[in-house]
Amino acid sequence: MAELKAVAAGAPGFAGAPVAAGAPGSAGASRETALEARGLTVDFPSGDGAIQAVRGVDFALRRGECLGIVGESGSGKSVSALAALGLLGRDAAVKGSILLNGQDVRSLAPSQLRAMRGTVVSMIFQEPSRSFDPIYSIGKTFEETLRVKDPGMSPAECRARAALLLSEVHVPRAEDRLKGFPHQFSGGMLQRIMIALALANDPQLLIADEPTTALDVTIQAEIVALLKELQTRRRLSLIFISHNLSLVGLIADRILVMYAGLVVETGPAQEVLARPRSPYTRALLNALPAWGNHYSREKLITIQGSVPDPTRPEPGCPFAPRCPLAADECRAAIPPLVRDQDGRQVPADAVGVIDQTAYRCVFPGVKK
Amino acid sequence: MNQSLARTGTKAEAQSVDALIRVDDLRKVFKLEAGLFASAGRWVWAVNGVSFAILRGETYGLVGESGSGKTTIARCIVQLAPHTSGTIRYSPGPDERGAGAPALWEIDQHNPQLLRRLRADVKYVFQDPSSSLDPRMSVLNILCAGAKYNGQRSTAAALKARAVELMQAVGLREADLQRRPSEFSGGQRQRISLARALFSGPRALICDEVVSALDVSIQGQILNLLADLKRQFNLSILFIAHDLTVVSYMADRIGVLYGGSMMEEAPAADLARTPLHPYSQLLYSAIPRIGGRLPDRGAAAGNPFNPTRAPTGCPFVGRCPLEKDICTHEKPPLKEVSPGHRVACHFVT
Repeated sequence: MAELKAVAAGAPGFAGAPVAAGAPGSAGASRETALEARGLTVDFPSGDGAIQAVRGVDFALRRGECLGIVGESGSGKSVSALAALGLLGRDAAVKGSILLNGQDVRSLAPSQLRAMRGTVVSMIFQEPSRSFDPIYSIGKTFEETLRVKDPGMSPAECRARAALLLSEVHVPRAEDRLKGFPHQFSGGMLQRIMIALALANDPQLLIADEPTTALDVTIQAEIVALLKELQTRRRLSLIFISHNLSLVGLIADRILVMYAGLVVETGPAQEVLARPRSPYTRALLNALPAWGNHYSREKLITIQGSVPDPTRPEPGCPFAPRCPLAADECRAAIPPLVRDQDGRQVPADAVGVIDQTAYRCVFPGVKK
Repeated sequence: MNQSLARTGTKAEAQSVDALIRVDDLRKVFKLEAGLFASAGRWVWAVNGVSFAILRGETYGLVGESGSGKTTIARCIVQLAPHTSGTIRYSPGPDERGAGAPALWEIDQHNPQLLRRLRADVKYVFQDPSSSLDPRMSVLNILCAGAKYNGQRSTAAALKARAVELMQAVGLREADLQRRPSEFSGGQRQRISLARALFSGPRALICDEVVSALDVSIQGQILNLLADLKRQFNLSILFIAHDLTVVSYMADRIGVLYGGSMMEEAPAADLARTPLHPYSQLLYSAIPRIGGRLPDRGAAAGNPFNPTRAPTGCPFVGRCPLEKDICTHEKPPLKEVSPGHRVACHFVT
């Protein structure tokens, strides 16, 4: 149990990299901000010109909070998260800054980045069965992970620590399960084990990228409940990425809705869900049948068309071609991120959109 | 044979007339291939005595978690996987193609004439359109490929005309016929899958998780399209999904499966209003809702159904809040609790 206590007390950043020392703009903010992205853009080269996966995204995550990033495939939600861990390949052109504990991830040497992964920030992925090496037993996988931080850990210590971690994520008969291999577990169980692995070296920030998409709906509910529980107990900062807005609403404190590499709406979760300002957020909420609807009585209000081509973004609002409200001004230029103040739109603060309710639309809240 | 239908008396007779496909006491056991020598005597009990009927013109929804047997049932119907026991009956009904055919066929893997007919009449649409369309074929060839095997000779022009008609029906353009699957988005590919399925003029579609691989904004488009196609082509649909909300929107009647057994069967509106079986209630409570709360931990916990052990009793044993001794050794029959609403539970009456 000693390990758990250490985490609760707020384990310091990774060794050798003093937190926030002289990083620009980090003073004060870094104390409560776990992760901050400023003007983040990511381009991937491709035959047809660069794929603009992320086109200038700002977000901030307060320590101990859960930020839900919502968007469809190609919206840039996963790429933003991968950029935060420095996990994008060398051919990805990343611009802007990503401050992790006030330190710019992009200025770190590969060895420093490696030291940070797992101990400061960890990630869990969509399909647990594909994220495990099938020829390693679960115990062996834990051993490898634990020794990243503590190379001298004995096999017995590793087993004890792994069993403790597994019981923390409510895997029954943890000791026995360590001898098992990935194929012997159900998807839900593997996802629990992956969460335990991600937490093995006590990170402060956990990024969960569509952690329940490949799972059954009953298991999905369990995994989300588990993540919430761990977030509270370990005071984790959590980024929960999903395409399911109602699911994100269950766990996130704040929500960032992304579309075509841009933030289209952000704000406190309940606020965004109850009073969505962006037509895209509203469309997402309406896209799936409500409980009790039936095809014989009403058609679904769908979003026409499909997501724009990331290699040839149109000049205006990326949602304009599918938006029922779109007018000429929407197609002329990308609308800026704004917030409401005294019944008027004022520009959103560029940096630190934390706690802000901001959106990108000329005609907010207009019902068609 | 079929307890549930027999019990309803006159209604059962009416159903047998109206049913396009009737499945009675269907069982499917797979041999577990765990190596050359290890496989002896190890089996997977995938479907354990399921009975239901897909009525003419209705959408029948099958819902359940992975491993509940919903896909296996669908594969048995078109004999992609021959069933172990039970009967599957297909009654094409009177029309020009049905001339001379018996009114009721028992589906049997050893009857090639029937299988050809069945597979032209009942079309399977798969979950992932990107892996079920040949990347090297043009859309035109994909749509027409099945026509080579239906025994009728058609001219290339006639096939093309049919393809153009169907492309319009699914919301694509004639020019798209010359393109290849990789040039389309996921939603468009699913439209192509639907056009291919409709090519032979089927009476029924089996839609196996057709929207679960798609983006949220696209799912709605495909669901709307499916409802339109159903009306336009007068189709019966077996709609399989794990998402109870989607199934209750799309289906007229719903069967809830768990561990290869039918737990509850009801008209969609009844199931949406009052899910009675504890498993249906669990599925219902797990749906994430705006303004909803996270479920209490352990709601879905317990031991899930193990398909490698010969089933005895209720498959939901181990996860059920109502569980008593009787449940472990006696499988509850599917009992009618209100018209059309059947529940397999000892404690739900």
